[in-house]
Amino acid sequence: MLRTQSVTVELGRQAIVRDINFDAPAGQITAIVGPNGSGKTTLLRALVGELKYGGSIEMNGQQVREMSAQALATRRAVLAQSTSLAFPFKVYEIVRLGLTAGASISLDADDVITEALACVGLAGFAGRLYAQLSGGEKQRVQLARVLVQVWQPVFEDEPRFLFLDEPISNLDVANQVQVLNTAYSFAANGGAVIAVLHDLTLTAAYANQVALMRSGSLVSAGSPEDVFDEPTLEEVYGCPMLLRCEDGEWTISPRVRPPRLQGD
Amino acid sequence: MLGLALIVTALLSLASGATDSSAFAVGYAYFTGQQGSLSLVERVVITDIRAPRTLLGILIGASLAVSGAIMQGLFRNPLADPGIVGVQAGAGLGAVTFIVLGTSILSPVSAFLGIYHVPFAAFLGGLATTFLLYRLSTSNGVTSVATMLLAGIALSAMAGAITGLLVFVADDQQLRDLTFWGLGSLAGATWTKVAVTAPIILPITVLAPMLARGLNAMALGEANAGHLGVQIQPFKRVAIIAVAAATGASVAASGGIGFVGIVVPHLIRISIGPDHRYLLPASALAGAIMLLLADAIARQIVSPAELPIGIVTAFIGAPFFLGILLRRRSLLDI
Repeated sequence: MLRTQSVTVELGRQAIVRDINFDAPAGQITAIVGPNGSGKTTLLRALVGELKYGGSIEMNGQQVREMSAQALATRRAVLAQSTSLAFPFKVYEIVRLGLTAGASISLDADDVITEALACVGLAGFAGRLYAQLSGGEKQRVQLARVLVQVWQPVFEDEPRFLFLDEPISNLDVANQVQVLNTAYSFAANGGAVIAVLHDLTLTAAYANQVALMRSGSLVSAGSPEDVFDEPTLEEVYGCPMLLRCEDGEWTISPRVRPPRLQGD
Repeated sequence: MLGLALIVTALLSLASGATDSSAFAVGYAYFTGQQGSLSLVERVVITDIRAPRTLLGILIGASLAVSGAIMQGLFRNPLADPGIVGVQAGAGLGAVTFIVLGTSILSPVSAFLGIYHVPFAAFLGGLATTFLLYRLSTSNGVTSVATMLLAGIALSAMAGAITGLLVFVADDQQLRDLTFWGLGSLAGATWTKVAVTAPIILPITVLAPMLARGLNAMALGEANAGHLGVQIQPFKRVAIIAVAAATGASVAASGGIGFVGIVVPHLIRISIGPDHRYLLPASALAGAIMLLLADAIARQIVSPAELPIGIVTAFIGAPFFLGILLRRRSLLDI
């Protein structure tokens, strides 16, 4: 369980995030959504222990600011929005970096790397050069790396955490679904997933909990059914929205119909 | 492989110089314990002149290559090298300060530090430069290559200017020392220099692989390395101190020898990959080999005189540096 109480984050002297309260339980996907600049990524960086914060963030009952880098690394893994790599590493060398975080040192390295790559649909990519992969493949290699970092719970009865910062923003639809399915099975196996997302349709489909943010504050938190409705989304995003839910299948998109341009 | 090559090069180095003795004869004599088969002149030349020079060459070559590799890992860039970005110049300034002022204003300090006063001053100079460089070129955990190289030029120029001032006030004996030393050369190698340099460089070179995990993680960027459990600030501090100490010790012993720190790690990355667990020890061996070879060339090419080794490494390294620059030009568009 990740529990936040009155979380505030300041960058410089400006409060970027104010008074955030929500829980992200194990075995579920919690999504943080909101417009650009609403403080989602800043909040996530505080949740993973990267930024100083006011208030309380508890990971399995421990205050995050009091945990060492090593203690955090054995309990949670973080997938960044995009990762730039120095030097020509191969795919398995990147994935192995997750293993050296200390969590899963007793496991057979090659097996875990192979399995993690299979999980993200990249079986057989181990020997390829990272720099030569497509954007979607690179993001999935990084996902395999963070999966390896929290491959097994190090401490009994302590769930693992997977933090994803806009993991699907630069991917095509098939890659988006692949990445979210991977996150889904991580949660189904008892882990907690906390993801910053932009795609509201996929958020509604995958997330158990949604935290909706606007200009640094929480608008509401709860199940997609509780949080998502047209008036709220229109107010938060400032544009007309289309929201449908039929037999559990969600569609949430901007309502746009510009007249067809005729050209010359 | 590399270890074997190092032994062969070391023997070659022992055997080459103004007096001729064959590598085979030297190797045979020493491995069988029959030094008596060599003439007295040969023995004196080998044990008192060439042996310290060879050992110093091994130490300095390893130190240059390892500090290059660490710095490149830390700055996440294959062009970062203590020679290029002004750390050697900073260390040089520290050394020159003590060579010139060590007998006058700073004499209490140099008396206190004994034979270590020049290496220590070089270490402080190198440390200050590395620290400044990192602060200048890195913001929010992202190092700008362009800023790093430009800041390196500025720091080099600054250190050079102050060094020039000190040279201006130096007396004749000091001037001779400085000129000899400034060009980068192993010619002044003595057992004392080996004894001063080894306790600094040897542990750093041997322990460098302990930084490998952190440097590998740093390849993903500072934030990701932190998420992987690397304690970023202490880690960077240790890496910077290691580079400054190794550079300080080698600059104090042999002046600034450039480009070994760029060429060697780059070649190793091409042949065995960028994993620092293997890159660091392999660079140490290959750096020692490269410097011994360069030294052999420096001694042979104008024999019986000799070139400063810095000229040889610059002739090999500078075109190499331009080559990397051209292929990675995109890296500079920041």
